[in-house]
Amino acid sequence: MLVAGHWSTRWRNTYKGVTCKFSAASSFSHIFFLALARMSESELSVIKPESLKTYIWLQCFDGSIQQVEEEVAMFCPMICREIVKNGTGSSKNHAIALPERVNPSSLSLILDYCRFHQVPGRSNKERKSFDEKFVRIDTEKLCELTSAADSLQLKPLVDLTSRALARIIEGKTPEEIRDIFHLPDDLTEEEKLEPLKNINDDPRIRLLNRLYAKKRKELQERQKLKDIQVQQEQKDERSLDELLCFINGDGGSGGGKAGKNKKKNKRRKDPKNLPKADPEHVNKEEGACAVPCNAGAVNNISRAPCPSSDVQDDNEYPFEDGDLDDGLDPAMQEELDREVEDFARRLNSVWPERMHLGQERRIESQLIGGNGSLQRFSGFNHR
Amino acid sequence: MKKKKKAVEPAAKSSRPRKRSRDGELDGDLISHGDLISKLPDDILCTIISLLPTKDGARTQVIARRWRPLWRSAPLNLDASKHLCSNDFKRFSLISKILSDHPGPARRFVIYSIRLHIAEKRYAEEAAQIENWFVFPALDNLQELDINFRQPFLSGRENRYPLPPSVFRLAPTLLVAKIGLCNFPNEIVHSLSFPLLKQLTLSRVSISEDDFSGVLSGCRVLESLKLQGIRDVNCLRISSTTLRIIIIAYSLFERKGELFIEDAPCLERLLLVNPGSGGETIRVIKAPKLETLGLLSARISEIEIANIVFQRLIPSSSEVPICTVKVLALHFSSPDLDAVLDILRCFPCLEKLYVFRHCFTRAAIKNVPQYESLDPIKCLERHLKVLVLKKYKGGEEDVGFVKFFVLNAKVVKEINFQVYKKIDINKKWMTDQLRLLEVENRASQDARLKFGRSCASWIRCLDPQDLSIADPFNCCFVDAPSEAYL
Repeated sequence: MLVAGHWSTRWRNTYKGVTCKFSAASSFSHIFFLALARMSESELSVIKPESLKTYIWLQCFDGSIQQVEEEVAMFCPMICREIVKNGTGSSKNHAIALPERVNPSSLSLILDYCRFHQVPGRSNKERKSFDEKFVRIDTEKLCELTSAADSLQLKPLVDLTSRALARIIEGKTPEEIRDIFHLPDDLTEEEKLEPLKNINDDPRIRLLNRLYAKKRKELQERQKLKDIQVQQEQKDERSLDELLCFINGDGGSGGGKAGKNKKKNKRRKDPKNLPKADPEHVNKEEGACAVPCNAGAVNNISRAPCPSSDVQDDNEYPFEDGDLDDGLDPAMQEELDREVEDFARRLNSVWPERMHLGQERRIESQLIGGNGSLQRFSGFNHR
Repeated sequence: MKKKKKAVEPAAKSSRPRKRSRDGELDGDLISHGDLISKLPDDILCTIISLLPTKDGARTQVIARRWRPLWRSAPLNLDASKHLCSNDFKRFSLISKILSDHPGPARRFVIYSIRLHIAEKRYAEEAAQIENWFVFPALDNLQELDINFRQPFLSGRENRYPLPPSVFRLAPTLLVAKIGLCNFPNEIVHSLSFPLLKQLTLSRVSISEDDFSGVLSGCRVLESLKLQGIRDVNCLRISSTTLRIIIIAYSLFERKGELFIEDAPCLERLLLVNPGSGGETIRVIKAPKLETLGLLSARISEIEIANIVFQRLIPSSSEVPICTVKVLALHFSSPDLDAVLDILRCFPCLEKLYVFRHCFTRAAIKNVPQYESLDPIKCLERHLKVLVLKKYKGGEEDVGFVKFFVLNAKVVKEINFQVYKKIDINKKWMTDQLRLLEVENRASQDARLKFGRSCASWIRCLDPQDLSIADPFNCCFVDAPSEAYL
């Protein structure tokens, strides 16, 4: 270019992207640049080479027309389609008619957004921080912007503004939300209470689940029954022991009650465990006049013949029904249940969480500046 | 307009006069300050509601008539954490209620510390309840699942709750799945496919080797995998054509074990969050695109990468260095220059080196080795552009370590000192440092040295499985860097 040498480097650097177009400039541009060359440096830096960019004309619903650089406009899918398919937008008379929901202020915001993001070289961090600042506008503008972006099908902007609106709504009471968005308070009091009622415990659900649980238990029992044969012999032996004990032991004093309890125990366990085996055992016990050695032994023995599955359960759930049930009425049972679960919850929530949190924190502090003994690490992991 | 007129009519309501007095005007003004958000179409409002936490989402039903039906049409976002209800056991029934009520579909279901009642009867009931959750239409088309149980009380570490097989009904639509503290069901997994699953996290679960391979082969587009505390297995094999990032958090296995990354043609990042805390051995057999690797630490007993075996970070001698790795993060108790140089020889194309260190140990001062120009370290000569030192103290061993790079790294552009928090960064200290580091003799004239603070929780920076973050080790400075010297 003849005039290239006359331009300041600053000018050239500012419009680096444009210089490549200069070589394809027409003679008109040539004259134009000669004119530019006579201007002072400060004047040059202000002028943009407008003739070299293609502009798209957009018309808002209120009639105002505006032009925008092509690459910026193309970032909007709806505008892009209009340009490509219908060929509109190339001149003032054939401006692209924008949807009703796009008002001029939203449009300028949208164009700012497009102008920033259509530049390919930006890093993710830059884009994110731009987005964060971009949505810091007042609520009314934000709603209008969302509406406009949606009608232009600019999905990334719709997502961004939706998330911003969600952040505004989050944590506020319905009254406050109505206030912010000027929404009418048009629900009756009952209607307002309706969804909240549902939050409470629904007995239907529990019933349904109990039925489900029963069914599952039945299936499991049928499974267990198949393994019962092995258990049978064991139990018979134990009852033999018991008989021997009885023969050797003191004889029944106060056995009636214990016997009753035992029976109660057995009966309670019946539906859960082996319907076949237990009655036999109970009969034998009854026949043997209840109490062998001592009450403790009774309890031991009454527990012992529980099939192996029950024993397993005891290991997992030590506060099993069976152990705590003796002689307690259902109300006490409930109380106890609740206390146990409360205690369990409190213990569990504080301790293991702290263990895990502690583990993570300790690991962090190790690497950041803690004590750093390897043993502590492995101590945590190889429990 | 119509509904506003209707609302104004029953003037007996206490709220009505308040609203009018707030606006201070009559109908005309109410109309002109029309409501801002109802111009938005329903599906945008549904998107917004779907982003809200569960309580807030449910509460939108009482905002206004327009909003009433929206919660039920918006994709359910059920975040059943403590925020929803602080009582663990009540939370249960609350979740069941919501799930039985909502017609679906769902976007996200998050639940932590599921614990079942200890009494046998209620345990069975609750286990059935959990199984039901995943059968309800409310969870149809679920995209994000985050389900974590809790250690059952008093049962010892051995037992865990089982993951209900009904979870896998949602397999076809899941994008993100995070499963924690439970036992994977056997046999079901083999025939399953996860066609949309992109992110998978298994944290303290019990799963067999075959089931694990089954899950992986059922994934078509899996990009990110995070593993932690896998138990009842001592060998895991990973083969995936789509996997791009593998994160191993804390210890991989509960006891010792081996991880074979057998075939991962797209694997770009292998991140070890707390290396060496478990006893695992990692063997990367085939990962031709591995670019980002770290943290490597002397605490890892053995890690093998493409035929080079690092035992306690000492590489076996090998002719074939690993040329794909561009970003490496090392973890040391004290800056050991010899060890680092040996490692650098294995990664000739390294562009960014992060050196993390403990602060508490005091090691003997290492002598700076004489750099043999006959046997140059290739990455120092040609590739290393960024060196970042975390927890920099500026003491003698630190300076000795960095000085080597200042004097020998020929193309380095940036040396970032993330200074230990207790050191006061002032002009005098920085000038001292620059003098000690002999920057006037630096090998790379373009080098810029920056001093700043590091963010304390760099571990969190490693956690996100976000592939859009270009460099997971690059936790930004907390404050802006104090000075940059040319």
